[in-house]
Order: sequence, then structure tokens, then C-alpha cells
Amino acid sequence: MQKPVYIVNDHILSAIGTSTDSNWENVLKEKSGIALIDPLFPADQPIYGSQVKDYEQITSAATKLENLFLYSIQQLLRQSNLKSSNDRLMLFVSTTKGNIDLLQNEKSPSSDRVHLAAMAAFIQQELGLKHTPTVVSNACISGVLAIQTAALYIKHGYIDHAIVTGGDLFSKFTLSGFYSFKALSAGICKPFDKNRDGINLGEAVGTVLLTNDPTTAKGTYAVELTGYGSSNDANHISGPSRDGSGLSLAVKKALKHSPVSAIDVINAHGTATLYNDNMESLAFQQLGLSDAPLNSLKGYYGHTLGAAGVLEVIISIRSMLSNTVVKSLGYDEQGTDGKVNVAKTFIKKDIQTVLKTASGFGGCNAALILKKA
Amino acid sequence: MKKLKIRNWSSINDHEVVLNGERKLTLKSDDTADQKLEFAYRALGVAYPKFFKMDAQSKLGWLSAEYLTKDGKLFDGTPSQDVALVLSNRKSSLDTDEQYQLSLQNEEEFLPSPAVFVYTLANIVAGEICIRHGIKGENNFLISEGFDASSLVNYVSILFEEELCQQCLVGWVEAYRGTLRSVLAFIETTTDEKATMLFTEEYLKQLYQTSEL
Repeated sequence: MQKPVYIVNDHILSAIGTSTDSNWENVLKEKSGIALIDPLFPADQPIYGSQVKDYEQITSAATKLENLFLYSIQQLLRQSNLKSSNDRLMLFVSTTKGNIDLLQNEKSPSSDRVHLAAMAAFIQQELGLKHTPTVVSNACISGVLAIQTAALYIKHGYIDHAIVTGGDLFSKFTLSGFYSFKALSAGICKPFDKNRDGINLGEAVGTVLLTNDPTTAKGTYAVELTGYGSSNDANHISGPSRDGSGLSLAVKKALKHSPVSAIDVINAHGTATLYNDNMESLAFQQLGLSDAPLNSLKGYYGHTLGAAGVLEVIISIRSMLSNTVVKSLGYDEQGTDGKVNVAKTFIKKDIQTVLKTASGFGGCNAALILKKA
Repeated sequence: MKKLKIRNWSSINDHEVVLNGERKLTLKSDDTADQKLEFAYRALGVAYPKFFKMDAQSKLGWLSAEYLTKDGKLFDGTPSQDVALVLSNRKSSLDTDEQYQLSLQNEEEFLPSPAVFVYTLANIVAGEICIRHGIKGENNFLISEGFDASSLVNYVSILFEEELCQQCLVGWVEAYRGTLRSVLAFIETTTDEKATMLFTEEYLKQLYQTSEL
């Protein structure tokens, strides 16, 4: 008999805090980590983003991103009973670009760690973890997909516990790319709003602990992962499907064991590009989810790429535990073709379940269902 | 546990295109990687103009999948949302990342190309294959230090057990600085007691090693 899989502990390192507690407090204060930044290249528009400026150097051998990962995972392990040497524990790393800044400096002693698996192996060795980590790099759904992958490994008995960490740098590489796509907002992004004009990029690391045994892993809570699924639009490599049918497929799979009526809150991807948010709105309408309170957390963090799925799951868990729907920062006026119920304020409500979704380049979509245990 | 078999498999390296262990095409050793990819594309006799917009890794994955088709179809009769695609490699999209990085060095004429940038993600090759064949099921891209047959077999087997897919295209696709290497296998369930080409770690590893020659 397969045991359920739970998330029992977490940690966030971001522009608005070095712990989940501080992040949550700042979210409740509507504090955004997004600010006007030096664009790192000649740009014809103001560039906004969120960056982790103060971080602890865990080891001088580590790159910036590795230090962020190490800090976040160490904090998580401190909060739990698990020893990093546990034979039934595996690390899952979600990232889109890893140490991409090393491309600028090929002579660096860490230059081989521009390879994502080499970066993950370095983290594994620094922490004394037994198993070779699993690295998921599937564009903007990487975080949600890494949680799904880890949960499936646990459910099927390959391991008992998983650390899933997601992170990406705020880099010239990625920033210039989104700039070249004309996808960057000229201000702080406004997910799902009528006047949204693009994304902000962000930097963060989010880490969760998954287990089939909340007692051993000493959870501070237990939230069950009851559904998951991914899909591909099979439509376009850089644009979302116009009708949201690809995202709908992923959500339907995740909902296989839960009725739609049971979804209390949707934590959407909500990047604040015209096409993405519109696509999502059509998907949620098709799925009969137009009335469920919905938010995007991009107004607080920007799009943190490999971190996004993990970080947003953590904030969603805080939201469940405190029965508070998080306000979708930056939203003012309905601006999508599909009807969605975007949270304009913080709402007190009994929250038993959250639907978390993500979509990304390559036409990929992913969905997770979180349920209070 | 469901019994899984490899319906067919293809591999492409710097020397040849192989289908189910048999050489389909010999690639000229003095051709560049781009020339080899174009040669393998022409040999198929299909018209897919988008092929020429792709980076080398996407071309490589696209071709590997194309060689597995019958009458132009990779699968037939299975709902598109029940066909999964699980890919892996070591270099992610580093080949195109390096090209894109070069375009950032010139601050005088700072013109990063969106057409190049879009290929700087590992899973874009997966997107290209999904578009070509209408694959709408589970996607995953796993990065490993070397070919990790064990992880691929474990993960794909779980997808079948969970009924998250009915069929799956799985393998390795990597193009880097002119070196090509891909192995793709199409996986489905079987009830045949005598089925050969079972989807096991040992067999998948063997296919990858064969492609090295």
C-alpha cells in the first residue's frame, strides 16, 4: 500500500527575507522585493527586478547561487530531525540556468559547475548527502515538476524523504533575453490586471522537505500532495497556447482524485505578460474554476524561474495554515478574456486545498494539488 | 508492475544514424555538425521548414524522433495527452548558451537575439518534438553527469504505474560544439510473454553504449 506524501518543512531566501517567517510577514505587509535596478546593459526602458543582496557565504568555494542553495537547505535541515546522511533522503534541484554567470569567466576554478549536475553534486557533497541529486530543468515549470518528481519517487518507494530546492540567479544572461523578447515590464508587474505589460525577473531560493513519515522528519506541519500532472501545448516554443487547453490538461490530471469544487484557492503562474495571463484565465474558466479565489505571487518576487514553483508552493502552504488568501499584488482591474476571481485583498477563508500551476517556454505546463492533512 | 517494452529506438552520433540497431545513414566525417544534421533531414524526404530555425540540439532531437515514425506518425490511436516525453543530457542547452553569451559581449552594439535566446533552455528540444508529433502528455527534462539509465527507467515506469501516460518517448539528446549524440526509445506496455527489447536499465544502458561506437 502506497503511503501519502507530505510537505512538512520549508525555507525561503529572497529579496524580502532570509526565512519563511520573514517572507510571510512581508507578504502580509504587501511588501514587494521588486525595485528599479541597474540593467547591466544598455536598455531603452527602466528595468525592475528582485535580487538577493545580503547572503551568507557558506563556503568560499561556492558560487553565489550555490551559497544561496546551501544556506536554504542547511536552514531546512536545522528545522527538521533529518540528518543529511540519511540513506533514504534524496536532493532534487530545480533550476533553469544554474551557475550561468560562470560563462563570463571560464577560467574560474568552479567553471565546470556551469553544468547543472556538477553544481548539484557540489551541493550534495558540501551537505554530506548520500545520493546523487536529481536535477530537473524544464523551464518555468521546473519547481512544480521537481516537487512532482520527488513525490512520485517517494510514493513508489525509491526513497522516503526528499529535499526539493529551486533557484536561479538574477543574471544579465536571462535579463537580456527577456528584454530581447520585449517581455519585461516597465514598472512593477501587474499579474492578471488590465494594464499588465510584462514580467519582472527575480532571484530567490525556495526549499521544501517531502516525506512519507511526518513524525520522523519532524514536520512543523503536514500538507499532503494529492495530485500532480504536466502537459505540453504542442503549439509554440516561446508562446503559450491561445486557448489554455494545454494547461487544462495538466490541471485535469492533477484533479483526477479531487473534485473541482474542492479547490479553495488557485495559486496561478501569473507572469503578467498579456498572453500568459490570458491563457491561464481561459484554462481556469474551461475547468469551471472561475469562482475560486486566485492569486499570482509575481508582484512580490518577480519571476524567480527555477525557484518560482517551490517558493510559491511554500507561500501557498502558509496561506493554507493561516486560512488567508494572499492578495494578488499589482492587480486592480479584470484584464483577461477568461473569468477569474483574482484576490484584490487578503481574504480570511477556510483553506483545505490549493491548486498550484505553472507554465513555461517549450509549451510546458504543470499542476499540483496541496491538501491540509 | 506493468511490463514495458521498447517499440523502436534510434540513435544519432557523429558518424551515423541508427534505427533499431541497424545503420540507416552514414554521416560524412568531414562534414560539420550542421551539415550532418541537414543531410539526415534531407534523407528523410519530409518537408518541415521550421527545422532550419532550430538550434543543433533541437534538430538532433527532432531527427531522432522523426526516424521512429511510421507513415509520418510517432504514435497512432493513443490520446495525445497520454503520450509522455522524458529527456535527459549533461550539457543542458550549453551549446546555444555559449552562442548567446557571445552576443552579450559587445556593449557598443548590444543586440541580443530572441531567436537564439529561446533555445537557451534544455527543454526546448522537447517542445519542438511535441509540436511536431502533437505530444501533449507528461514532460520532464532531467540533467545528469552521464547517461543515467536507472533514473530514466524508474521515472518512466512510475509514469506508467500512475497512469500518467500510456506511451512514452524517452532518451538522451545532446549537441555540443559540433559533437552529436542522441538515443531515443519509444516505450509502451506489452502483455506478450515472449516480448524482447524490454524496457530495463541494462537494456537502455546497452543502447546508449552502442550509440557510442
